[in-house]
Amino acid sequence: MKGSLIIIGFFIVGVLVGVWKLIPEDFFSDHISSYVLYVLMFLVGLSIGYDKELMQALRRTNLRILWVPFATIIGTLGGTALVGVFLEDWTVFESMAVGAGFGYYSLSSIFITEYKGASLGTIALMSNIIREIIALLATPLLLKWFGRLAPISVAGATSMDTALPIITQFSGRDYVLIAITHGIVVDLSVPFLVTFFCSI
Amino acid sequence: MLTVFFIMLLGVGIGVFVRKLPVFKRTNRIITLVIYVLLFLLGKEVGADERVLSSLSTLGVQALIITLGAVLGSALCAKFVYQYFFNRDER
Repeated sequence: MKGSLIIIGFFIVGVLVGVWKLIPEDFFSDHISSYVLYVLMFLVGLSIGYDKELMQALRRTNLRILWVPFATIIGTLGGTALVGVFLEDWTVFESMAVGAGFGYYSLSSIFITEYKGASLGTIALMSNIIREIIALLATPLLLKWFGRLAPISVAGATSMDTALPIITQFSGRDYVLIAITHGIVVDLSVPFLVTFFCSI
Repeated sequence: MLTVFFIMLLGVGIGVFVRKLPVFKRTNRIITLVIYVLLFLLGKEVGADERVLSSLSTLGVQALIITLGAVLGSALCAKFVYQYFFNRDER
């Protein structure tokens, strides 16, 4: 939760700086920010390749566990596609691009800002933060209504970090490995799915 | 768009290659910092654009609606997978 507050903090300070025009408007041109994005993606790739344990954890996974991230991805994309049909301002694919953040708000909102503009980027930031908050607060209800895997699925990419303690507590210790593997797989899918839905 | 994929894959390849060098443990820290800068810039863009700023509450409602779709969709699929692949051999 502390991480979310810092993120929101940076965003809000940015908004205030923008409102009061504290720094010149063309201080960072669009061009520069897409280079920064490239550097960021390179670093994300680097950290994935560098992490030996990440690859080992994925290799040890038994195949049944992979149904859980699969359910999360299909369910999220299905749900956001359905909602997207009813949103006047945004297309189905734009709605799915926001959903494909899976709670990984920082990366997905930056991507979406770059390709779809600040409005949808802001939606992505808020939506994915709301998703994390729901995952943290609604876990007991999710467990009761949808079973022991639901807290993991709803947590999305955060099932391996922020939401892990509460998942352990409610779904049970035997679901920790599922939650971590789920988090890794969903997390890895974010850059691919978000860019995919932004490009169609 | 493809550029982004290739850049990321290049990163993965190089990451595997430099596993022995402990310097790269700091990569995550740098990623966090870059993300802070970019979110600050997103905020700045929102703040400087009066149209976006004035529609912030609309954007919030839309974000909430999309999130509810995402949450319900994934919870339903999780329920399905739980019943068909997990619950069975537990009881």
